[in-house]
Amino acid sequence: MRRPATGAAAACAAALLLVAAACSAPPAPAPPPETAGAARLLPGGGAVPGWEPADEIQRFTGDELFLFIDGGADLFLEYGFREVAVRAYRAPGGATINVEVYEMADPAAAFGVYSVRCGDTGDDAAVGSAARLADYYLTVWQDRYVATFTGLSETPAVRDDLLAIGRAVAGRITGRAPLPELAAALPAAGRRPHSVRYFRGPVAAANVPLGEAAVPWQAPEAAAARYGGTGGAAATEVVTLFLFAYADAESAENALSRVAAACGAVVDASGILTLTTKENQPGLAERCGRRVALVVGGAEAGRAAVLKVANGER
Amino acid sequence: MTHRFDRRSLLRRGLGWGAGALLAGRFGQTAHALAGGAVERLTRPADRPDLAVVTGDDYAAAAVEAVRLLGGMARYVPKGARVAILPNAQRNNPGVYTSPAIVRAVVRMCRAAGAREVSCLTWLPEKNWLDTGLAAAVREEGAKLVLVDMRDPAQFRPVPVPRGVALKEAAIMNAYFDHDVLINLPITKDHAGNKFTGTLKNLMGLNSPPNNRTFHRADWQTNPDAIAHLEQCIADLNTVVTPTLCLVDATEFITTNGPFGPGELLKRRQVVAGTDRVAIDSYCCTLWGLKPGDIIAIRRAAAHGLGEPDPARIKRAEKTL
Repeated sequence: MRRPATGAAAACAAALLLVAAACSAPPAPAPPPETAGAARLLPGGGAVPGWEPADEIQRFTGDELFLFIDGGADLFLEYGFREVAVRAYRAPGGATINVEVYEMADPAAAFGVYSVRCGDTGDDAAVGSAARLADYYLTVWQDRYVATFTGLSETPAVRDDLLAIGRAVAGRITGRAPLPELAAALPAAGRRPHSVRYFRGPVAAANVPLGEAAVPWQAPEAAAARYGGTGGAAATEVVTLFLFAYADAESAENALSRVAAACGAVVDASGILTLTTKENQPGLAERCGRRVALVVGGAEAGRAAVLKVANGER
Repeated sequence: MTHRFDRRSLLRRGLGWGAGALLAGRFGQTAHALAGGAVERLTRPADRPDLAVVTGDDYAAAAVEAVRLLGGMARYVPKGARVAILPNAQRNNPGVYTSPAIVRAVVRMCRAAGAREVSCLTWLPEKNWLDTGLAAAVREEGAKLVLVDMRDPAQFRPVPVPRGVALKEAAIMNAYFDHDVLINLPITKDHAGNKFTGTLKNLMGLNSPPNNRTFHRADWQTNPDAIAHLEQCIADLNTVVTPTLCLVDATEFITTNGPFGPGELLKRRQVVAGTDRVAIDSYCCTLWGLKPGDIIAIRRAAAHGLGEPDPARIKRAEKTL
């Protein structure tokens, strides 16, 4: 359901709280809409010079996300979604920027959405914990929030305005979180820029380069990055490294065995599985503790080198 | 489609029999589909293309020219017809919604062809239509914006899907049955789950949101077959709803972060028109490097006999303005 968060609504909520306090022991008070969750991060009037809110805040929680982005909700829900707060801002000349702040279940989920939605596009920007500025939109990750800022016109000036509003939102987020452990475990040497992804299910995997290769592993969480092509990591052709994390080593071993059986391949004496994915990509996989590393694509030497580096850095 | 309207015309002139039975659904097409699940198709004269693809910066002119290449709007909209149009108004992010210029052109063409009325059907909130400029386009051209309350089950009619593999019953909005002609007006773009949206998927806009939710398996978050199930449901839905004509906005659309955006914007400046949804979607997906065979809904719709997926067998008329 859409929930307009107006000043009148806030006043009513406050009045109701006062009445409740006078009559009996008050229940835990619900915060007014504009001060709760993601909505509190949206700037009010005068907060960003030259930009004013153009409408009321809309909020969608849980499965209500389908009402807002039917067809696009699955990605957020797969990661673990709490709510989204939405508002448009307008400049005196009529230029408009749409702002959506998604509150995810945890910081890793927010980073995951950020990593998949940014893709390879755009330039890094100094906003929040990580930000990417593309032609007409900005994506920001900080703590358990991921936010998008969309200019409805493609003018050079809109990029500065996106950054200004982005900083106003990010500045209201008090927490900071490190990269998800699995994403941080992806070796940095030889990693291609903007190629890190973190995901938790098949919908996100479908939006990761060669992500189909990850689906049979049925891991609760996964991270991926591409290596090679520009030197480093001894890989001359681009390969994709996936790290899959399981609850324990036994689950990881079971996954390795299951995928090996499905591919009609066997794990060799050194613990390495040589396979061909359903999409006909060559791959190498190996378990290390409760994780499995899978390297797909490229030449055999590159795959072996990246697998070795991945194991070494784990 | 032509014979469908002829049947109505006969009834109007008092020459028909069993009018009550035939008009059980005002939309003769749907009544026909319900009866046997058969898919009606406009017979294409040998000199007409399957698809018309027009490229240009004036999107309204491109839409008009695309329809002209197919033989003109009068082929699809008989005089006195009640026309339903189905644009996509998901969000006002660039490359996400059907261009208002195209919608304006279609409404004008329908009215010029003699349509009695043109209605834009939707269960999306009015805000979507206001923000995208589509509400103004519809109303200023003299069409009606019919806002259906998505939360009211009474606004939707159960429709069996006899040929459905995964979807056995749809829930189509009642307003659809009050029309003689349906013009499907999607924007082609990326989709987070199935990588592509076009004519086939846009028909979910006539189906109730709760029913659309059943397109997602209960275990969709872990089941790798969930996307295939969704795509099969889309193909199944298309066996009971047959647009008279489709015009696809392929002018400016997102190729990542679909269907909602923001995402990478591709400006192909094309309007694609035709009646064969499979052929149209097979063409549109190639606009950003996808292969028709990789899009499950296209494969499943082709398996239903809904159209031609092989680009080599699709007769295409192309023009640049």
